[in-house]
Amino acid sequence: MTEATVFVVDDDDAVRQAIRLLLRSVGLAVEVCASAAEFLERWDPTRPGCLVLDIRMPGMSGLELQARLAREPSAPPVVFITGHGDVSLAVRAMRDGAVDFIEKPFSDQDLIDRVQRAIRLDGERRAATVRRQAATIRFAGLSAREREVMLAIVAGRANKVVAIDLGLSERTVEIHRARVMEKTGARSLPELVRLAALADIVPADGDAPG
Amino acid sequence: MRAQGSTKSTQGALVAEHIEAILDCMVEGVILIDRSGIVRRFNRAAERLFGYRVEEVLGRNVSMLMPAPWNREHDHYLARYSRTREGRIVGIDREVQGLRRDGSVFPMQLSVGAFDAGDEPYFVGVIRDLSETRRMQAALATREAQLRLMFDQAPVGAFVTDARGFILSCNVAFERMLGSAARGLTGQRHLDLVHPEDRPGLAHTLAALREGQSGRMRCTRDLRYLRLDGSVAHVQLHVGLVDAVEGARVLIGQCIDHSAEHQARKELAALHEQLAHVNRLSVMGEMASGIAHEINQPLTAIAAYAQACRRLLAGGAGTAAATTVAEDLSDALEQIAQQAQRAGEVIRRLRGFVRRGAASRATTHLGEVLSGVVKLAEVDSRSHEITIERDISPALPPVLADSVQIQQVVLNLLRNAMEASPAKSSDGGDGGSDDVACRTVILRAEVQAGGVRIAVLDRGVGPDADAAERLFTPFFTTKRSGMGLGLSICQSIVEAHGGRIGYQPREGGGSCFEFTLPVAPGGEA
Repeated sequence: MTEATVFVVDDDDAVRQAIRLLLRSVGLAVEVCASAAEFLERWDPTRPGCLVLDIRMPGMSGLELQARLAREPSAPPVVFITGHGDVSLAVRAMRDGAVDFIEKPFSDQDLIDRVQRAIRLDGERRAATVRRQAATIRFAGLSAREREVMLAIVAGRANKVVAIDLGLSERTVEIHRARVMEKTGARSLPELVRLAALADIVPADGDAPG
Repeated sequence: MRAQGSTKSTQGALVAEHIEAILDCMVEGVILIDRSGIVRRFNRAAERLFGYRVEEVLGRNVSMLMPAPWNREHDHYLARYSRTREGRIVGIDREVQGLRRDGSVFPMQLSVGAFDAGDEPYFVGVIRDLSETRRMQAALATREAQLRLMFDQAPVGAFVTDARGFILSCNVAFERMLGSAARGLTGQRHLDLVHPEDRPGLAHTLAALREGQSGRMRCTRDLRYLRLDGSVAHVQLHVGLVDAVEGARVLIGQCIDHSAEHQARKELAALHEQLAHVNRLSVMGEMASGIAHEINQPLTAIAAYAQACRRLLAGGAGTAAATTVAEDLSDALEQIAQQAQRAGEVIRRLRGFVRRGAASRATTHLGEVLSGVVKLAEVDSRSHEITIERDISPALPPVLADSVQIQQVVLNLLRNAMEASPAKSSDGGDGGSDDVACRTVILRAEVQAGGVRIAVLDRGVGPDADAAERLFTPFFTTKRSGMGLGLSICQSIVEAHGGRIGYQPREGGGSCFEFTLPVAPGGEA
């Protein structure tokens, strides 16, 4: 897996460079951008890491960049750095999904802790994405009929009920069910339910039967 | 004419007739008396003077023509003269008094001659009436007194000097103005009373006047006198050269004392100064959060660099080569120093701006002053997300100005412009170019005839016609908070610098506030 990168976006050159050196001193990979626009230009959604973002910037502000990234499926976690008296802005940022904020001037350990937590969160999000994608791929090979049967049994209905619902013989339902288990690689019904939840096919909190 | 017999007696009679005629034709009264004071002759003029006919006087004592007490003394005088032949009056002109028939007394000039005819002494008195002369003298004296009174009571100080500049005369107002009623100024050299710094200039002016170089005989100038107590009197002096009697030139000076006005102006200026200072403080107060940010930025950088250094020294990165660490450390320390400078610079700029003290004008290069004020204004513009565009001509001539006050004017105008600028469109987009243009405030400085024109332009809504008229009126404001003093203070600062400030709508929407400053003397580009 690629190494996590911390992107630092701050229009103040000194602050930007200082943060870069500080994060590098603990062995983190750092890239710096002087504006939100520059970050958007260079941003590669596939690269893991997090964003350290100045809340006030000329042009597109930190908040605006956050709002813009929130629409992306693999938005990096954001740690806002705020100046004096920007707490209300920080609260709004947190409500909009920022993972943390830190007030200038900050202690090195605070920043490093927050950045590392953000990187960890990104890693977890990316792992979840990978698992979801894998699960989605497993369901991709099902035929239309097999998918119908799968949805019904994941919803907890017995073969007999499914057969009546779909106007099939119970035997046919059993064949389809075996094919579903085979194609998805699920070794049991609970595992199939978990996979379906991972692939966003059914709600994760679905009360699947044991 | 009476006919006479013998030739000799005819001759004698002719002479007597001539003498008679001469006596009667004389304007002066002639009275001849003998040793006892008995009138023997009394000519026509004497008749007119005393109001007696000759026959009423002849043979009577001349003392009848004298008022008391001289009438009583006269016989003694005559007796003494007969005894001693020493006259107190004989051969001398004297001014005495005569008594008319009607009892009135009049001043007269009397010359007395004595001669002997046979063994008898005789005295002849020649009398000239002084009534008219005395009346004229009295009138002149009255007139003189009136003029003197006018001179003394005039509210302007006035003096006259001789050709060398020594005071011949001065009035009460002049003495009072110099606080020197007691010491007396007559005889002093006028120039010695003038403030030493103003002496050369005045001496030069007066010399030019005397030589008639300018073809003028009068001139006016402002100058200072030194009072007796060492204080300074500010006056406007009008001097004129006058050819007085006998060709002697005198200098007449009149001065209007402006000291009170000068003092009032000074106090007003001090008040303006204080007000301007309060305004600067309040502007700084309003900018406090921006200022905190300006100082916080370098502090943040310093803290982060210092902490990074500590980690680098502790070998936190582990893998980095020693040379890289050394380079990073060196860079970081350099940055720490620079950022400390940066924070110091912010504070210096603020301190300079809010410093208190008398306005001091100096030859000022506006380029530097304006860059400084843009840096101050950017404290605000960053948080308002407004761009300040500088359009400052590199060819600005130097102006005579107090740089802090000029910064204050420009900062007030820039902050107004930023406040007036339309709010940033909140669609969260990347800010269209229209949006950017609307949120750009332009500071323009250009050369114009005789000075510099400085303008601040925005794209805000701008005041309506009614408000535009009252923009510079104290306590008028269109803002929800604010004293309404900013522009009024700007106006008094600009006008004190000899410039003008004004507002006009900007072409294409928005406002344009502009002011002018005259070029410093000798600084014409």
